[in-house]
Amino acid sequence: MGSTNPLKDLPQKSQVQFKEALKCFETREYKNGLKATEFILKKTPTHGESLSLRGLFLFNLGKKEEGYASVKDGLKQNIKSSINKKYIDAIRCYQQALNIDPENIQIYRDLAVLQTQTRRFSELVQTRELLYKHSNKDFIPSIGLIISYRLDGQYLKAARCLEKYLDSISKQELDTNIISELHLFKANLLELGGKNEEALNTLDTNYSQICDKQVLKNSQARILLKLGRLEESQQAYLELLDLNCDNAEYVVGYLKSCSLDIDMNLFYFSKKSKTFFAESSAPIHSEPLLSAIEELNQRYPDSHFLITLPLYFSTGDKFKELAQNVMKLYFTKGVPSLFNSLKSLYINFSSNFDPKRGSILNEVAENFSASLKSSNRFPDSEEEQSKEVYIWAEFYCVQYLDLNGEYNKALNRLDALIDLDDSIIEIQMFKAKLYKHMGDFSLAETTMNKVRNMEPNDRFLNAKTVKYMFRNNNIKQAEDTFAIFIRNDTTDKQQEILDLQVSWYMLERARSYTRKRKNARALLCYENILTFFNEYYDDQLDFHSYCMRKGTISSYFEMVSWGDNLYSSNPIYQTASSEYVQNLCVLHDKNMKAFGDSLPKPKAPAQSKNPSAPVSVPETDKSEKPELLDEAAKSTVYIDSKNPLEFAKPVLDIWLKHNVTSAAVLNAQFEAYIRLENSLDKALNSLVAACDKSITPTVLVNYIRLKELTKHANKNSAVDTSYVLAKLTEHYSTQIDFTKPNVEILTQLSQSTIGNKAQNILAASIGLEKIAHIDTNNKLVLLKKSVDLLYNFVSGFESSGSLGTKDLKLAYLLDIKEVYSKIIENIPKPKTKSKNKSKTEVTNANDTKAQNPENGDKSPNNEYSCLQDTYQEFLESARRLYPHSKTF
Amino acid sequence: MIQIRQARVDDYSYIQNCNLHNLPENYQQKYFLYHALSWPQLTHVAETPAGEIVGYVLAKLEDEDKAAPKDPKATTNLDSDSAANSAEQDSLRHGHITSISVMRKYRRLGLAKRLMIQSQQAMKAVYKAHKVSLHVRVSNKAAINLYTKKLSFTVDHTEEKYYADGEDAFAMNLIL
Ligand SMILES: CC(C)(COP(=O)(O)OP(=O)(O)OC[C@H]1O[C@@H](n2cnc3c(N)ncnc32)[C@H](O)[C@@H]1OP(=O)(O)O)[C@@H](O)C(=O)NCCC(=O)NCCS
Repeated sequence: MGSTNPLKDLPQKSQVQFKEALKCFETREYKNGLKATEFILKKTPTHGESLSLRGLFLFNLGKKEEGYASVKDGLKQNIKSSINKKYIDAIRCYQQALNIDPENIQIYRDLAVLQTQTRRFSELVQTRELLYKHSNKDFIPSIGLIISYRLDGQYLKAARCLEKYLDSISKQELDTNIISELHLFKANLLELGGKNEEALNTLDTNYSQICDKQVLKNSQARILLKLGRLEESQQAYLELLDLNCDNAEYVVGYLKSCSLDIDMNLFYFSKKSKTFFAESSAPIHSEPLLSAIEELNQRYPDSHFLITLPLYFSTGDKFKELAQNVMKLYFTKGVPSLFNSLKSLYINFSSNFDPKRGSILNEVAENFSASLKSSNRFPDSEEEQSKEVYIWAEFYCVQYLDLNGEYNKALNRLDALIDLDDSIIEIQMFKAKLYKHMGDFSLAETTMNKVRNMEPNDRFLNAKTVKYMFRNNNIKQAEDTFAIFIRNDTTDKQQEILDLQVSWYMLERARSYTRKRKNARALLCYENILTFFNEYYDDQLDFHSYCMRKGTISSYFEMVSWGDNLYSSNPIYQTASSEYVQNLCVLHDKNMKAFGDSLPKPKAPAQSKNPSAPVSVPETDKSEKPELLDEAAKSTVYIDSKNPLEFAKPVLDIWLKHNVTSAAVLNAQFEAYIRLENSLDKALNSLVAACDKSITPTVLVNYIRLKELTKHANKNSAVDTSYVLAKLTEHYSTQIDFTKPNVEILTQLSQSTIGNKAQNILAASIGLEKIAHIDTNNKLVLLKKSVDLLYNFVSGFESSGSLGTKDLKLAYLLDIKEVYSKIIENIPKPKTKSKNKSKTEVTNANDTKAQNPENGDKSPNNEYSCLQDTYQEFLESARRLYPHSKTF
Repeated sequence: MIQIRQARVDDYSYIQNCNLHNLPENYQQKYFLYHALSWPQLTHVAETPAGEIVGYVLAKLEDEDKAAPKDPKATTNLDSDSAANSAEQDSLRHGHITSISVMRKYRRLGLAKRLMIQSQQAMKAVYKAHKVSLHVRVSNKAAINLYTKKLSFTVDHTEEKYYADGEDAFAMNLIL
């Protein structure tokens, strides 16, 4: 509804007040303006324009949320507004205010900020041009305009504009640091616009005015390299290395300027992206690179970075020689992080991966350790070493054994080390880690807690202990221990933790609750993390104008792209948000079950047996402090919700809007959409995206689920999965025949040699369990097959003799247990009190059956009970494989 | 193989994480961003080949006339100093280390020292700061050794009950 005259519905007095309010907005007298709008609203509470204007005042007085709410109310009165888009709503509101008062410069300024926040750059350019036109053309309006061109991708236009501005001012007007930034900005714009020569000229001619010589040099070096002016580039990189010889970019730049073939991603991999290299690798061995690095190293003997770099560019004997040098140096120095620093040599993250490098490292370490133990000397050396040197060599060995999954060996050797010297914190800490890997979370916790007490003032040890406590589901203990380092002078420690945005703590806590199946409490923790990230996003708002005033332009653009990628690139957000949605799905499924499940089972007993059942009383630990009861009360929001997936919607929105597409996110997205009404098409989109990323067994399973759901859905919501089918067929080629029934497809998946075998089997059995709920006619067959797969897999491992704990990770066993328990939970209770625990009793049961024709072989009770048996046998196997784990 | 480099804006949430693991004095992300967007050259990080931030120095610039009123003792010192030393009158700004820490496993590798040196270099080169100041717990031997032995800081004065738990701080300075 276009509001031609916003005043027509108002009484005379209010009309005057409204004009007054607008004037206040122009003059930034927000408090007076607020009063005026409130006066109007007392008489006419639904006056949209006044509501919106009131919102603007509140917004500017720092009451953002209330402001948005009022703005929203205002919009609801006038136009159909989409909810939950607070910035966009605010923009609409400002635009509406401009309809009323088109000359109001302040509104344009605020509008520009919101347009930046929402990345509406072409509109931003218009606003900035208008502001510029009406200004005195000094710093703020000029730089605002130039920044908007840059954001909109109009680099050269921005550069010309900036040039004009720089010509127009006298240097005294601005702070020297700002002038410096402007010259760098101009060079950067020219470089972005492809005018490398011009960029270089700008840097050269304004050399004396640029304060940040390191950035200046770096830009010069980079551009010279691009232009092929290698000698000059090399010189510039050397000057940079003089300033910082531990900088990877400078080292790589220098080597490139020597015409050497090197790239950052050959030795650097980002944990953030977690991608592994799938194709066969071609490890690099390059003599020219090695000698160039060696030369640099001589020039900068202090550089840590240069000492280990050659390891990434050598193989075979040369690698061995270099590894020996590095290890000698660091064992002698006593560097507990050496194994971590070299760990990327064990991981196939790029084509440069060579599995032999890892074995050589292990061999060298073993060799050194043995020699140091027997003679206190490195092999072929006369020099006597201290006991500590042996300890560090041996510690390295323990760590690689752990990586190999050889936990018992590692533990024995670690214990011997501790007998030798029990004062080294790093080594004691590693024992806790080993216990964790062996599955004994309780011993891991006590061990770590002992270490913490060795240096109670070290917060790092405190944080580690807290993590181990959460891992052991000792939530109360963890919270109390964490609280030690929360300031005492705050009234509410709980609030302080939220204020400080302690994501790692909330995540560990959430996972602990998830494991305890207190999904609602877990959801609250996850929700906190999601809030932190929304706060991060909102944090940008104030900096749009701050950076213009301060002139920190290059960091400002970094901030904008940080904001763009905030949700999509942060692993904590991806993990937390996907686990949040998965937990909501669990609650959703529980609700569905409560409303009637297709499984033939009595409802009541299952509920009381299952600790996670949606009980009506809020969950409370008796041990919890009163302040935490608050949380328990809050969590009823989730427990009582009839439709928990409503909570997922804002997250789903953010994922789409910010292009968050990690595998875990796409999977959670799929899970949510197949449960939401009329959303199979969206589920398909997630599946297609997952499929385009990489084909995993999960993609296959989800494909079958979607196909089955489509079969059971009505015509309108059925979806076409043929694209995914084509991709899958291509990927698994002859190993899987997709024309076969589901059971067979999944059986073939479990036998497939494409991808990780353990993961294939696990996914296949998870898939069978899930499809059993959709394809209810074949339920029993599917469940049986699922259980058989798991059982054969685990017992196969045991009988094969070589205990490959490396391949059969504890995590898999825990997952398997999850699947089993899900199946077992759904087994109908036998009506008779049969105690069929062992195989012999099962046969007995069968015998009785034979005598009782009513209760034939097809009886669900007995069929299900053999699932029980395999479960028990699985647990026994798991216990044998992981004797330390108490989970089985 | 750990590199030292200037922090980018997308590092600051990892810096926050590192800070929360190592020190009891913590800040909101916005305060970190405030550093990033005011004095980007002063904050540096130590990063592993796996892209993990295992150490940082977070630093800012202070206008001496603005910073002074917080601490009356410092004001008097400043007054007498500036009368005696005219060079100090010219440069009204000095650097201040807001926070520094290194993850436990990566300590004693010289990372903190390298981080400090980078930050100090930038304070002087970019902002013409004439000195750098910091606070340290009187019980923090590791840090005190680092500042005094490796970087030549000197104790200016002790600030009583500077920390939330009541511990005193040494206020240290280094002329750049
Ligand atoms: C203080 C801290 C930042 C030092 O980091 P670091 O990277 O280990 O320090 P460096 O390796 O650069 O050490 C340089 C020098 O500091 C001194 N030092 C560092 N740790 C020390 C320790 N534990 N005991 C005694 N001196 C120590 C030594 O003189 C060392 O030189 P050296 O190794 O040649 O003997 C680190 O211990 C830490 O993060 N502690 C927790 C957080 C903290 O206290 N921050 C300081 C707040 S003001």
